[in-house]
Amino acid sequence: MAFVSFVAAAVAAWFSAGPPAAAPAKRIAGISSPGKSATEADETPDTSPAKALAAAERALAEEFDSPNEHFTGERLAELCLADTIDLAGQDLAARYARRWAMKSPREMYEWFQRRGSFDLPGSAQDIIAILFTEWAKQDAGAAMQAALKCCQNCGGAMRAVVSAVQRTDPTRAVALLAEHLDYFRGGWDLPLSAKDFGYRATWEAINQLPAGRSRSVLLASYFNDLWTSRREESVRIWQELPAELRAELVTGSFTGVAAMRRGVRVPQPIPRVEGMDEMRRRYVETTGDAAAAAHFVASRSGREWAQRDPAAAVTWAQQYLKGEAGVKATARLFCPAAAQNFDAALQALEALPPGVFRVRALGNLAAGASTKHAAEVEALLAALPGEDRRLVDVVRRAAESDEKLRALLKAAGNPRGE
Amino acid sequence: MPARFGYRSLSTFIFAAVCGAGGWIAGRAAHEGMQPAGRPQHQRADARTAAMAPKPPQVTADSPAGQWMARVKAAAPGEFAALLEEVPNLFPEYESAKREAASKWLLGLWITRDTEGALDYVAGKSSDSTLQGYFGVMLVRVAPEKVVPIFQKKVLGFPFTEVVLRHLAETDPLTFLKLEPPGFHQNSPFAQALRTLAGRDPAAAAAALVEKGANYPDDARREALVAIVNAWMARDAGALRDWLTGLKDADLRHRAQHVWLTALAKTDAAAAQRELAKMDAGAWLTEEDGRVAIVTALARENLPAAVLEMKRLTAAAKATEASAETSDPFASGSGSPRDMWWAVAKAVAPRLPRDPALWLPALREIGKDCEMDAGERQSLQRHLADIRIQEWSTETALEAMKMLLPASSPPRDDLSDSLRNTLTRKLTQADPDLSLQYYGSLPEATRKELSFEFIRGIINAGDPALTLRMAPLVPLERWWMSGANTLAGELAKTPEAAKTLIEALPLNSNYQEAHADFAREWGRRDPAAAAQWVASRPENVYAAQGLAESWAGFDDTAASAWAAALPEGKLRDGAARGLVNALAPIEPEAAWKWASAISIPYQAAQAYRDLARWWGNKAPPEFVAALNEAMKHSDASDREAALESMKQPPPERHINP
Repeated sequence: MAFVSFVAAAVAAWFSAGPPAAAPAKRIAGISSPGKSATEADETPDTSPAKALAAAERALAEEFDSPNEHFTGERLAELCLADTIDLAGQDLAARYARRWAMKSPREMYEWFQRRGSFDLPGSAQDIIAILFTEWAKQDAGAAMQAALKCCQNCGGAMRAVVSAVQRTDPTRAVALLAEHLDYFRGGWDLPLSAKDFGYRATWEAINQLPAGRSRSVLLASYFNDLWTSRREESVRIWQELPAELRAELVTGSFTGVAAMRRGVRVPQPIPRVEGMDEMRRRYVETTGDAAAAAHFVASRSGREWAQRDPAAAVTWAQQYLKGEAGVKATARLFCPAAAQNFDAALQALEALPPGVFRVRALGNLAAGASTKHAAEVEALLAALPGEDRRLVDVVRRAAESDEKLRALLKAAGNPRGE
Repeated sequence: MPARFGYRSLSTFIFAAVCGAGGWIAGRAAHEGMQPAGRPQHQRADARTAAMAPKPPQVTADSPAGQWMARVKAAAPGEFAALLEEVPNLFPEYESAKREAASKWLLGLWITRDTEGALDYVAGKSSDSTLQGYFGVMLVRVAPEKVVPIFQKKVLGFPFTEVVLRHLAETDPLTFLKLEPPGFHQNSPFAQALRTLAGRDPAAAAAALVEKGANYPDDARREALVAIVNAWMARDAGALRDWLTGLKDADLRHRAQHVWLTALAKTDAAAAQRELAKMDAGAWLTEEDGRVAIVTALARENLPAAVLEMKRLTAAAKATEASAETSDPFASGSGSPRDMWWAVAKAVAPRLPRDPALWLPALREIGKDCEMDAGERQSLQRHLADIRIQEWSTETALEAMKMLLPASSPPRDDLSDSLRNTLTRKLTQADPDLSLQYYGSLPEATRKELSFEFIRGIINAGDPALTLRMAPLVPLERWWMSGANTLAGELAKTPEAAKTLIEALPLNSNYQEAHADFAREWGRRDPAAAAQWVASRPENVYAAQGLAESWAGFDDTAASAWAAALPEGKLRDGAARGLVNALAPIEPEAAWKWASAISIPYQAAQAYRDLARWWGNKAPPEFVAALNEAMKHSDASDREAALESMKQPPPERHINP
């Protein structure tokens, strides 16, 4: 009897111990099945509409509160191999990489370091940008230190860090970039963006840098970005800029960083602000900087000068450009010159000594001449010997193709088409 | 009695109650763990379990995003449009992932509550392809029953249709097969649809492949076939075999058989071997040939058996070659196909040790117990080296290089040469600066062994400063061997710093290319400066030649004027020689003038020979006489070749715009 009552009471007691009452939640919780992230849920789509909706809400919540997932490089590699053509939005691999980077960037970094490469098979993802952007949001210093150890991927990693830091702390981003500018070879396409609202703070931070090469390069690069993204504002900024900083900006953009990139015949645009063309030309004349001269001649400044006064532009280019690239760039001036001012261009052509240079100039003149001058052009070409005619044809086709590209860029509102 | 009975009853009751209470306590304790604070412990256990489970993600309610989410949840259908338009401001451009997740979630809610309203709104945003894509994704997920009618309305085009088809391929393949319009589709998710369907009903997927496969490209059909075979084999291998052997389309049957053999080889290589022996393996299928899978599967366990099987397959294929034309690489007659060795290497590689100290001897031993000739062994060893060296870190690769390069006398055999080259490529690509430091630390004899790969690797790193640092380390003999001309040309990117290196090179024909290329490249960048340097080296005929040749390529007038102004002697001869090379294709008369001005008879003969080739049968008769005269100083075969080339039309030259 005692035994029975003991056992009965014990059994009753066992089942009386229920779970504690849940504390009232002060937050909006994601509502999809716990334990499975939206990334995984997306991967095996649930056919239940309610669950799909819950997964979508969870995916949004996960953007603010990374789930306690276990991430591996192997899983990321698998996702990179998945075919994601036509899937709208960010693909699974990118989301997975970003969540991993949000949760434990160092662990992710170390996995790739052990692997020896940031490339994954079949991946179209910029893993470097994802990792270092997320890492910099959490700890910019640690991210930058790691970026510096990335060997071949150093530039991409630092770019991501600086871009991420600029969003919250433009001054620090500018300081980081100025300190590590050498890693951005050429220095033209720098990671500071003028599109975001922090552009004013970024510009001020650049102005506050100590005088030197870093400041002048950053002034030039960022001003060009301002010109592209915020034209009216950039004109105001230029007008307000103290004379010494204006001069420094021109110097900075003339140290070769603004030279044409290899294989691209449409150079970076030169902002159309009062006095800049003249300052740039004077800079070349004072320093003899061949890279700056090449950029000046190939850019809007050189083309517009050739349209106004072909002979003066050609003479100037011959004086300051060097070598094969110089000959080709000078010959290209005849294309815009012929388009605007055919007779003056023809006169400048006839002043050139016979030879390969003149034949190249003729090819460009033929490409730029309007149909009104077709007969004159044909007469000039007919007088050429066979081999020269072949060279003219090749040069003419290349120049026509460049002009088409320029027109397309201009039509698309791209300042490089100017 | 009653009192006694009452007392006993009461005692019994009390005893039972005490036992019951003890039982209660014991029961609770047993459940909760007999801890001083039993109940809280129960709660801690729950908390522990909860902590181990992933926590659901949360958005703080009073944050802008949390407030927006609350408003979306409470919104009436007419309010969704305005809420959606808040998204870009709520999540700026760099918060693209949040923007995407928010848009998709809101669209999902909107579709479930007011599909037509959502559709009208999205259709009105025809320029917003991103939004239309998100709408497609969420429509398939939250309102699958409405996909077909909306799709068929054709209110939305790209990318909605592509997105819907892609998602249907993953969730509802039968609807996908029904919706995709007839005709050939290059980028369709057909393979994905059949993969999904094969997971549910492989026979239905197989039927769809036979019926519609012709509308899709080869790779999509192949991918679908692999999915079907794998899924069906796991469920009903007999039915799969019946299906593939009964296929009427010979090409599909052939491919299906090989996919099947491949799948079988992964689980039972011997069974796959037996099946292969019973069938006509047919023409070679590069990627999915079952023979590769069988040999690979064997190689994982037993390399000699794999090699024997490869030989047997090769012999069988060669026997068929006699009777039929085939592109089968087995029948090429040049041994086993490269694909096969590569596959074998991939299978064997994981079995070799990872530590370079153990890996190198193992690599040397590999294949010794197999029936293969020296060339086949080398091929296997090189593939194995490529695989492993790519996996190594820079430090490990350097360690392996040190093992291959004892300081005193580097061993020379084909394998070590090949390994050094692969390691050099790896090192110079991964860390050129470290590689250069290492190169500089080696004795000269070893540097000589490695120079070509190192020169190429460092130059490919694209940093002229590194090239400049490397050049003094390159042993003198290597300056006139392969790669030295490239090195000299690269040095011309930093001419003022590099010119002393070139000046230190001997002036003889062994170093001709190094001198000429340096001046050639410098001249291309800055002919005036290069001309000044050349003028300061009056004995350097090669530099004068290189400069004149490159200069005349873009400004023949200036180059000719410079050459004409040179005093008679070696420099002028060299410049004339360079001008002949540059002018011969475009102005042969001018080139002739320069050829005739060369005072060194042997140089003049070479110039005439080259000009004859460019002028060909267009040359005037007087030139033939002059050629004969000049070529008296050349050997007979050269003269014959020159005269022969004059019977041909001039060759066409490449013109760089």
